[in-house]
Amino acid sequence: MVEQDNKHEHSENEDCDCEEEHDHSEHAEHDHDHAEHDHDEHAGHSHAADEECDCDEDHDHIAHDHDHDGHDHSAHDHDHDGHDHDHQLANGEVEVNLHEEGALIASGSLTLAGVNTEDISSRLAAAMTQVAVNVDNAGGMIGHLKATISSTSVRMLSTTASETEVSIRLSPQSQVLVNMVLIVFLVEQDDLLKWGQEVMAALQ
Amino acid sequence: MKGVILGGFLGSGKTTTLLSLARYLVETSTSDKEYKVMIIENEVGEISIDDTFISGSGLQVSTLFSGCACCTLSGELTSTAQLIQRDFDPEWLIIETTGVAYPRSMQESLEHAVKMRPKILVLSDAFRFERQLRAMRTLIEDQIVGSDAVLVNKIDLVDAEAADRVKSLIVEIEPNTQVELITANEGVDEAIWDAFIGERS
Repeated sequence: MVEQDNKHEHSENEDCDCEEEHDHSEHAEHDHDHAEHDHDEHAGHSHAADEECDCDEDHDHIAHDHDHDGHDHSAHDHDHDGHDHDHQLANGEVEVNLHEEGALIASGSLTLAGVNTEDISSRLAAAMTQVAVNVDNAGGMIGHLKATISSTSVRMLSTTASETEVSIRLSPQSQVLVNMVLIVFLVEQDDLLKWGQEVMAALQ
Repeated sequence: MKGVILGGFLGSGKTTTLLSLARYLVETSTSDKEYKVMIIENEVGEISIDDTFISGSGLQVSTLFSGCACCTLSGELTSTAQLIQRDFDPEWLIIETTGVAYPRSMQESLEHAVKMRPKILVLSDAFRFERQLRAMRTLIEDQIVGSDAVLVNKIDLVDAEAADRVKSLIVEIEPNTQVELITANEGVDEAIWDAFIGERS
């Protein structure tokens, strides 16, 4: 038997005092105008982002849920904190965006030259572990923390002066590209940005 | 062209499982098509992680960035699928969704756009499932409802009782889905893929 979600309704600024233990992520009957949709609402059921929820119930405030049927996101105007899809991240820069399901996503990319891939891998693993600890300490929830490390080295082949021999030369330094995505819930955006920047800094 | 939508919450093991499925489809293919498998990779962040990993396995990937294809980028999903069908006509198209996507929405979009009804395969994380279900019930349930199969992954991290509990929760959500327990890192039994894919024409 599926546990019934209590889908009671209350107005946006009304405290929930039904004294029932239920998941406040369920907003299937919540109707709001998306043209004025503020993503702070996604921090949970309806209270201001920095307002304490005093319903005395133990519940997570993740994921404002809404019915996607008939819901046109292409016309959905919301604040992405100036997020520009055409913005190219600078080397080592970290950007944090808020996804519609309440996920905060930190993205960063770093290119390094003349480094040892194994060393970078170890440092990256340690730095990501620290992010996980930070999220846990902040009472957040990890969606996914992931990264890739790819390295390229260049060999140049050319004929020498004799024109009958081909020399092979290895470029003096290989290049290592690190791509990182941190997807978490229920933490402050500034905190996630700081943690993402700390990951990048740990590699340099 | 046949299709599979691979869904499931963040970190459930979709990419690892995708590689196993893709290898299975290639190795068991009896088709004379040039492309046995093509993959559409849906990324929720600005930076491509999963397709970098998948490309390293020699599979062709067309990446969608920054959003959920079933919602904010539904136009790109269907146009990419149409392009793939038109230009490559692979035997199989696998779409790996983001961890916060709704596979059924994608299925409907694709059915309309490329006249194909892809199967839905969902990955669940045995270790985190119950916590995730408490925190994001509607998303998790909606990912499972309508699925053809759910693979409960990472069973090496939980005891048998916990794994059975997760399996029961999933069956409550979607009684018609086939639920299997796996540890994707150790490979997926071919019998599971045989049952999921069914008869090959």
